[in-house]
Amino acid sequence: MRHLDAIAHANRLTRRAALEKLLFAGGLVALDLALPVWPVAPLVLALALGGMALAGIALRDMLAVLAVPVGFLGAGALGLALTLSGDFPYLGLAPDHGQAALLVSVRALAAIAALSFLALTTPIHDLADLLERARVPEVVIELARLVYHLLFLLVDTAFAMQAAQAARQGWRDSRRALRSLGLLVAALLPRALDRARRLEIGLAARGFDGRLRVLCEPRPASGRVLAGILLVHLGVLIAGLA
Amino acid sequence: MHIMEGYLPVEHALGWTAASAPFVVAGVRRLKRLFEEAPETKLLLAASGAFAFVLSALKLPSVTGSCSHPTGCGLGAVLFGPSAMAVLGTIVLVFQALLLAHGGITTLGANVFSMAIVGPWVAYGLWRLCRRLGLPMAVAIFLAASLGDLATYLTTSVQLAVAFPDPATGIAGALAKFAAIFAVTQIPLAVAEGLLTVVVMNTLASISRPELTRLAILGKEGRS
Repeated sequence: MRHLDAIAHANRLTRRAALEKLLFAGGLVALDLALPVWPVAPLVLALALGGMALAGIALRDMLAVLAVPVGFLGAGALGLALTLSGDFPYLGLAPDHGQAALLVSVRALAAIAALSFLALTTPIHDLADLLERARVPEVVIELARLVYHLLFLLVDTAFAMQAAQAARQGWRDSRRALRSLGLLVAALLPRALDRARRLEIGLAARGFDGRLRVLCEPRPASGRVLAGILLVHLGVLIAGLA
Repeated sequence: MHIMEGYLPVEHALGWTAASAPFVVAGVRRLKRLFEEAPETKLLLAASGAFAFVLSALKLPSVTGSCSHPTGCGLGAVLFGPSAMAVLGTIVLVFQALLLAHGGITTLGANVFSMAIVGPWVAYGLWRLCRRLGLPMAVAIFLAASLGDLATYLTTSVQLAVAFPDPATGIAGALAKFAAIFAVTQIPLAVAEGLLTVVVMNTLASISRPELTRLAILGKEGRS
């Protein structure tokens, strides 16, 4: 998780306007969902991977990001390809031999790759700025920024606690693991709240008025780049309708 | 149980988004009022959101040996109240999609509906009901957390069944299929989450009374 966030902050496209990247990824997802799987999904997948390559993201990192969703997709496809019936043997292959399952999985894979492009090239704060300008309620954005600020510290704390428990045989079998996890979660909550209280005091001392201001470099989207992205989308659209 | 990006057809993605929106908007309104009355609750709530996210990054050992992470629906609903959970859950789901590649943006509405609305409301309702019936706290927590979990999975099954009806047996057949698949994997997990939440609440009650009192501000909606 930390690795993904680090990549988002340090790739060749980090400094491009978030709007450009959002348009590229969002458009690809929309085309992928709206048009026939063949040939659009493979095109979307290729474009998303190409975009990530353009950002200088290593193939290893792309595969690492896609590995988890692909596992879930496999399990989901199995569910879709099977059918239940009232007669023996109760469970069988769907009449279409899993073709629908395959189509859904390929489409989802392409959409996941497009979303991964956005996640891997765009820092969260840039997206938050964009949403703020799009008039998403400030309450939500502020809250999201604060959650983002706190969660890495808390994840580190949780993993340190887990390592300490494991070193004391706390995760030896599932009974102990369950109890250890319960203790961990219970110990984590007061720590999270304590951190929030300290942050609150620190911010109050600096004149906190309810808004957390982050220094943002203005990164205007280039009209030429946006037009280029739309042209790529148009190409996919034509391929899909042909 | 996250539905992946791109998994739902367009109409379904939009439909579930529309179904979730009123709950999230109501939650946002409530939080806005809360922040105006007591600005310090903003950080309290942010910490709760980060906490909910971390829960999803931890592995929950299950009785059958399979592994998943706790949903935290039950715990969150009891600690923070269900309408705050609708907003916190939405934020957490967005971060899960972007930072963990888990879930998605077009399927956000469907996932919010099952995990940030149905799960927490069922858990909260059961928790209030059990307390009113005078059941012991451990029983109330266990039922709230485990059945809240199951309600979430059942909602996801319905969402999948409606999107992908079985070619032979229709939506009902598909629902039976998805529910049967989930029953094998998720009932043990729901039991594990119920037990886990009991351990958490017992420990919190003995070591963190002041924190629980602070959180009571957030969850007071059902108490008035």
